[in-house]
Amino acid sequence: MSAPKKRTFQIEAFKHRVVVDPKYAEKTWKILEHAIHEIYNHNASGLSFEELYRNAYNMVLHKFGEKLYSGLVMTMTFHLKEICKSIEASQGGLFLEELNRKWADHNKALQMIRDILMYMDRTFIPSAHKTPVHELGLNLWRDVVIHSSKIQTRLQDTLLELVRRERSGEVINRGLMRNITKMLMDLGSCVYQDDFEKHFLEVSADFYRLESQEFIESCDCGEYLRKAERRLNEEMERVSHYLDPRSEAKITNVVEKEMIESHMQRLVHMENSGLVNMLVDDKYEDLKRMYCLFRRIPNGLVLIIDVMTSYIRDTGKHLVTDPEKLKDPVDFVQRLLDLKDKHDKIINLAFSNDKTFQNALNSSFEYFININSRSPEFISLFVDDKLRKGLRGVSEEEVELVLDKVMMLFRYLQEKDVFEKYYKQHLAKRLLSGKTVSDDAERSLIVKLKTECGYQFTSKLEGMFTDMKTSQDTMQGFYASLGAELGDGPTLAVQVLTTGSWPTQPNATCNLPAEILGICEKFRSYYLGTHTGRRLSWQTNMGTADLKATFGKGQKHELNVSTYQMCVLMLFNNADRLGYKEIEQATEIPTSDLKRCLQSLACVKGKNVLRKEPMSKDIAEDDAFVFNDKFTSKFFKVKIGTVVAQRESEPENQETRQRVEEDRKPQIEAAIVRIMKSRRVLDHNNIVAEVTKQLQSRFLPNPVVIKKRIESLIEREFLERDKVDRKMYRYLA
Amino acid sequence: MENECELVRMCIEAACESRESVDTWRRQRRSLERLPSHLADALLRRLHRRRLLFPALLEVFKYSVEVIDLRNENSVNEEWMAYIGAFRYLRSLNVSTCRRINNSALWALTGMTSLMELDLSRCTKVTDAGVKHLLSISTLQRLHISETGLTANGVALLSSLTNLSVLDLGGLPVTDQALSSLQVLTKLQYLDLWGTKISNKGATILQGFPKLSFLNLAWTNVTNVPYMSSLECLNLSNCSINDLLLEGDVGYKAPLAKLQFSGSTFVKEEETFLNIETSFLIYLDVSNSSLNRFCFLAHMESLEHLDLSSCMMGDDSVELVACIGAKLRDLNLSKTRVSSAGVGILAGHVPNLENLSLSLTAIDDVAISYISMMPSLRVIDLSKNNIKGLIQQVDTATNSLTALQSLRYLERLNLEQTQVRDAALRPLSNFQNLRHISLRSASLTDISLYQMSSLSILTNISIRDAVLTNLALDLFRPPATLKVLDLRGCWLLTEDVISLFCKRHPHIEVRHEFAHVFPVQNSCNGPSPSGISSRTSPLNKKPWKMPVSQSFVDQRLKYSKEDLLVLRYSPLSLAYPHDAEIVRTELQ
Amino acid sequence: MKKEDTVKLISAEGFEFVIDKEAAMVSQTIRNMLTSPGSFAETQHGEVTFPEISTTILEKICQYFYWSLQYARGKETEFHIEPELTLELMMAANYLHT
Repeated sequence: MSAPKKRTFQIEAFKHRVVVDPKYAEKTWKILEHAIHEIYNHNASGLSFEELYRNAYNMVLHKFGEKLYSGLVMTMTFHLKEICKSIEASQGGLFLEELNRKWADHNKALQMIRDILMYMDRTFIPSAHKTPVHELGLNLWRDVVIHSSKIQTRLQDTLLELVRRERSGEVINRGLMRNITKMLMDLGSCVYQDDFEKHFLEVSADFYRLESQEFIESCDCGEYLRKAERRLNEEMERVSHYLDPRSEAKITNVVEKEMIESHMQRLVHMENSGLVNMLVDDKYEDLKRMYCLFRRIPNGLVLIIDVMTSYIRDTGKHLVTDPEKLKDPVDFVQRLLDLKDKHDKIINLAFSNDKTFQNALNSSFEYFININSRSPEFISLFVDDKLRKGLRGVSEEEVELVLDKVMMLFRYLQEKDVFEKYYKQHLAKRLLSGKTVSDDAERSLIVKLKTECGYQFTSKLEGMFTDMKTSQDTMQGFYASLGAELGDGPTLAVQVLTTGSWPTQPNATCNLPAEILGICEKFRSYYLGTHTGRRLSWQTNMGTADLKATFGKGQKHELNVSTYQMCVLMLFNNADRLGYKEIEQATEIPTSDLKRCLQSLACVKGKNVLRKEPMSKDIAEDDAFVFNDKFTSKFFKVKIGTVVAQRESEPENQETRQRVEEDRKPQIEAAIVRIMKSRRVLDHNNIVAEVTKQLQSRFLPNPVVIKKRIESLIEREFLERDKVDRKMYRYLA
Repeated sequence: MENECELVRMCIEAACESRESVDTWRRQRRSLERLPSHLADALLRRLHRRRLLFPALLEVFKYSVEVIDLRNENSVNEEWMAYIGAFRYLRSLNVSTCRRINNSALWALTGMTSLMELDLSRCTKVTDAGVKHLLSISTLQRLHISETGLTANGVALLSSLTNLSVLDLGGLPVTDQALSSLQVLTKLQYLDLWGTKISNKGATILQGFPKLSFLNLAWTNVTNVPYMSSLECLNLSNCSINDLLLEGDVGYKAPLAKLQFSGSTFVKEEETFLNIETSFLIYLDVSNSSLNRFCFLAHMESLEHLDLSSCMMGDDSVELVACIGAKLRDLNLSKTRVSSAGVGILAGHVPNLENLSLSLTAIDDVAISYISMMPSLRVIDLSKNNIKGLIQQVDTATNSLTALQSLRYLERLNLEQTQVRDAALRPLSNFQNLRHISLRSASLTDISLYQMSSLSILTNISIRDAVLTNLALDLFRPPATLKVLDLRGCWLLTEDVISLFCKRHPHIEVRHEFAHVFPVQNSCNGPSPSGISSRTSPLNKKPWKMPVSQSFVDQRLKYSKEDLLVLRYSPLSLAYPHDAEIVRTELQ
Repeated sequence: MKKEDTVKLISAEGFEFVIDKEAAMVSQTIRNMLTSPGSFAETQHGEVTFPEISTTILEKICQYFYWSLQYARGKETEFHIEPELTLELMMAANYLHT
């Protein structure tokens, strides 16, 4: 087979050749160029959109897109140059207006041009990677007009000058400003930033630096802050009216930095008007302003808190260490509460209840309350005073308020067990003397303490209340069964106290008068008849008695006295005059108590039912006492020497403290054992840490004491030391 | 073509409906002359896709078309090229892998004054003689001539194409001497020399190209690469690398953005990187290379893609990756010694990571909770790992995959060849954005398939080698968006059930040994399958019908009897190109 | 149809098609034309002449406008294009950006 012939394929000629007149492109372009001119000359009405659009379409179709595009650039540039000249020629104040007007014109022209050249925009431009028409128009405007050397600086200067004028109080054309800044933003955010914002911020910084210097020399703190706030608001308003919203943060930073941050320290510590003065004078408005302003700058609030904290700590410290103020515990505590109230109010009204401020306040209080070791005692005395008479006639809600405030102070105490001890004592006295204002108030406080500290804290206290109630029932039963027998004798009211619940007292001797002894014995047998296996002992140092006394001119008075005083006074039924020694012998009351008792009977104005010879403040062993015939009193009932809770004397205080320390030892030991039992092996530092953590709700244990307790436990073979590591301990089961 | 011209698109579809449709307009000369080029390009594309294109038809596009893409098209030969040669405004021509293109075919292109881009890759019949024809196309800017029949001489001839900016000479026997002839091509920006005979001497010549920004020297004997001031992308895969890019004058270093060293050996280990300006590097591929230490990573703060697969990478080096993790988007750590601890080091340092591959590493389920701390992840490959999907605690086991629910953008998850079982897949139903799920394990049962129904936006499901039953497939209700269901290796499924499923869900492509339908090729220029229509446009909701099976226009009219006899024994079947043997006939 | 809501499209041969503005604005080009600032003749007179679009094609285009509005409202019908019209229609559609 022969090789096939080489094929030549023939191409058929087209019947109609496409003829593109070389002048065709130029002709078409001229039509469009003319149209663009007309558009810029505001002469475009009546032109046919379709015709122009079609011409542009044909140019692109016949591959003259490049010519069209470069023609567009040239024509537009030409017109923009003309526009530039006319703007440059405008005088002074009309510069911005002319710029604004021409900008609006350009935008309108641009849109029209883009619409008629839309076909090129969507087909030729993407494939040739050229800038689209709209963007091109903006870029040319930016390059030819805005960045022309004359206009660029003039524009910047004009804008900044207007801002300066507005800052010094003049009214400027804000609408015009807005249009201009919007133009800059449309041209690109870097145009806005480089041509305007950057300089605006610089100039503003200088302005505020000067102004703040001026103000700080001439104004006091409050005034200065007012001015600063005003300027800040002004700037924010300025932004909202004619600047880019993103400038707000930047300009407020400038103001904050120049006006507040640079002068922070000086403002806060300003003499006679600084922060401390504001706190002292309760200047809520000023403080609030300071808070809002300082909040904006780094470490602003930290500074305020620091100064406030040291001020509170100083004030508090003076309060708790001033011997004058410590004389009256009730007053002392009241002052503490007042101080807290004052600052709570400030934090609420001026510092918008900011938690960090609250915390600072709390920590300050905790700090200075615990400086004075007698704070627990004083707080208990304050409560005592309130529950005894302070809350008489006060509404239930107000009672709760006061008790809540007490609880708040209680929480600050580190030695809560000391408070407990005093509270118990004081409560006992209140209960036994029946001198409590409201049982409900008492119970309410107990509940609050229970919520705060747990069941163990209040179980004994509740026991006391129970005893009181039980005693009432017992007395009823007593009189019910033996009522007839007792007849006209003295009326007895007994409170039976369970030993564990009540504060322990040393058992004192006292000889009760015969009249009393009888009934007491009857009670004893009655009680033991119904409760076997118990032992009763009379607590003569805690009782009270009501005596009917008749004086010289026949005035009768009812005397409310302590049991001791009763024993003493009953002696005078049989004698008009008695010497100290005789009284001592007859009553067998302990010396210090007897002395005090006689003091209150004879040396106190208005209560001297006895006369002492020789008259003096103190009781001496060879004093003699006479029944005071001439005693007078306005009142029928005379209270003499009720057993009132008093601020302890120094030696008493020492004693109580010792007892507290003693009580703490077993608690520490119990904690150590609990911890070691669960951990088995632990090192010394960790034991101290854990023990502290466990006991911190009651008191702050002393690490030295903890160490001693550990040694003691080792001796008693609860723990042993590790043989290798002396700091490790092991639990011995 | 923009998307907004709906009517235009409809017109093109209507024009290419069938051979008869084409016949109605192919003689409308005037309209064809006025056709805008982008419309002509689109019309031509559609004709080709619909198998309606033949050489004579090309003629009508002579004055309009600017771009022609006929790659992989075996029917393209001299005749086609003859018509194409007459195109007045042709800018770009791609006839790569068109096996019938030979030197004569290229003759048709001589003197084309508009052609800027030409792709002849893998046209093995093109030799030095063919190149001569190309030399007259002075406008040529981009030329791809890799894996053709050129010799070094032919390559040297290309030096007269002085407008070239892109030149692909891959797989050709380019020698140093040939390269030196090309020095006059000063506009060259992109040069591909993979698999050529270039040596270090040739590499020094490369310095002479002032604008060279892309250079591929993979599979060559080059070991030293000199300084090139404008180089941005450098590929030295499968090479032995000695010295790279010594500093130029004044300590200036080239602003490299992309480096590929896959499979290469580093003679100087990581010291190689000392002379490179790495702070602009965006892409680094050192997979399967000889590197042992990775301290050089520390200076690459701009890195977005990092491929460390098959490297000596371990947990001790992960920290170096974490240091530069801020911009990282793609990270490949497959086939390394990285374990869950390593992933833990990475977590929290890669806020922008979108693509993470940990296939065939030492990780376990613990790694998954670390992975959940990479908020931008879209694609995760955990295949071939010891992952169970369960974390064992004291007496219970919790699903480890639950942690991934926090990844809002997670689209693809690959768990093939892991130890994940049905129960562990339960958390998947809460993955908001999951579109692809790949599973391959013999322990997976019907339950896994059921769970897939609840994932509402899945497009691709792959459950291979599983013990899925016919019943399960029958009852399976696929998510509305499902496009591909890969069930290869599920040996319990039978042919009838599969074809029933396919009939019921014609828009889902099912892959299985028994599935008759073939996958649609990725390149739309491949032969159209006898299966699915590739687009379901909302406007064309006509029931799918078989496309024109007569893919040829009857060309018999053009040949004489003798020619036909010669052609008789070479059937040109277009339906299954991978299977059919294509017999080449020399029409010379 | 109120006069203000309509626009007149005139073909190369002079045939006039009066259609709703809403329909006409399916074409982006016509939309731009009618909404462009500056008083072009078309907006002033409410009519557009297309000297290069034939009557048949312009008619088809108007049909397409209405079909497109209907389709957007949910009525999914078919819009048939005769194959011999496809080239011209395509170019007109491209010109009118629809």
